[in-house]
Amino acid sequence: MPGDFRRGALAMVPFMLPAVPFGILIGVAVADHPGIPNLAGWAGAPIVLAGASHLTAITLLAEGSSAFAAALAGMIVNARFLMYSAALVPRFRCQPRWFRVVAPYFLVDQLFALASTYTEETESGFRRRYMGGAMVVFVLWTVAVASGVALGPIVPNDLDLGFLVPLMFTGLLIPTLNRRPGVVAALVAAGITAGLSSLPNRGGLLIGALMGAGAGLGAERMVR
Amino acid sequence: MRVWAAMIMLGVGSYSMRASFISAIGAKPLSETVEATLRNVGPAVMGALVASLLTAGETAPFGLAETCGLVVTSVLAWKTRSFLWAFLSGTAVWVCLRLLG
Repeated sequence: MPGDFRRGALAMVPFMLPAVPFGILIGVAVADHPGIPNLAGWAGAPIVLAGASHLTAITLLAEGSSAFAAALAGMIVNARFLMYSAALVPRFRCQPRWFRVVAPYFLVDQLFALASTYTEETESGFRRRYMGGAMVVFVLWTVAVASGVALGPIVPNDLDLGFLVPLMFTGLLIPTLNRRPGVVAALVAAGITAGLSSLPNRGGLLIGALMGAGAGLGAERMVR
Repeated sequence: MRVWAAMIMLGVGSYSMRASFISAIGAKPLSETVEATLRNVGPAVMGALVASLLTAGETAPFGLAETCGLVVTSVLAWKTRSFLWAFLSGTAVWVCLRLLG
């Protein structure tokens, strides 16, 4: 259907409302850290397209960690993409190979949520709806982060805006916790990570996440 | 250079994860254990990330304003299931408490 691209694009817009301020925050963080060159820091926006991991990597790099350690921590944060990929296999099974290679590049949380609902589509209709949303994400996100970098020097430092990031993640995470295993996973992960806060390179993040996932798995088994 | 290297590595790694199942031709169905684990990776990672941002690294002083902001956001997020209200309310509380000293 013509107009599928536009429908996909429009559907994405409300999802970007929390994302744009987050992108601006990341840009400000890049601009504020003297050790992070603006262009390189911004480049993570089009290259990674995932704010939480982008910010985690920037934070670690600013704290002096190696590129590898920063990237690894970011990968842990992005581990949920494995789940998205697996969950979308039914939608993609009938798609041509070129699309199955290109489309995942844009698989952000919001696009996963939308694409999961696109069940009654023709093959090309799905492609167009998906890419409509993907383009909105790509453009708005990269522009938002760039705006933050440009605005960074102007934003006052009195309020430490960095607190807004964990606050925002808390607000995003809690509504998704519908099942007890998820709650267990999040609480165990948070508790262990907090307990291991003195580990270098935020190593507690990795250990806490792994143990939280394990605890969630255990909780699932117990429910049975 | 460090930053470029990190961004590119993270980008390649993230794409690999995103494409992992989608690109594989004839992917076989996942075992129940793997699926159950993957379902819990999201909440675990977000919980760990929030905790890490609040407790590790060079963090600003974590005081009354921050605690109240977090509590307000958490409670509202749990009750209303709405990100926007939860986040805006928590932010408002935090800003007010910080400005009041």
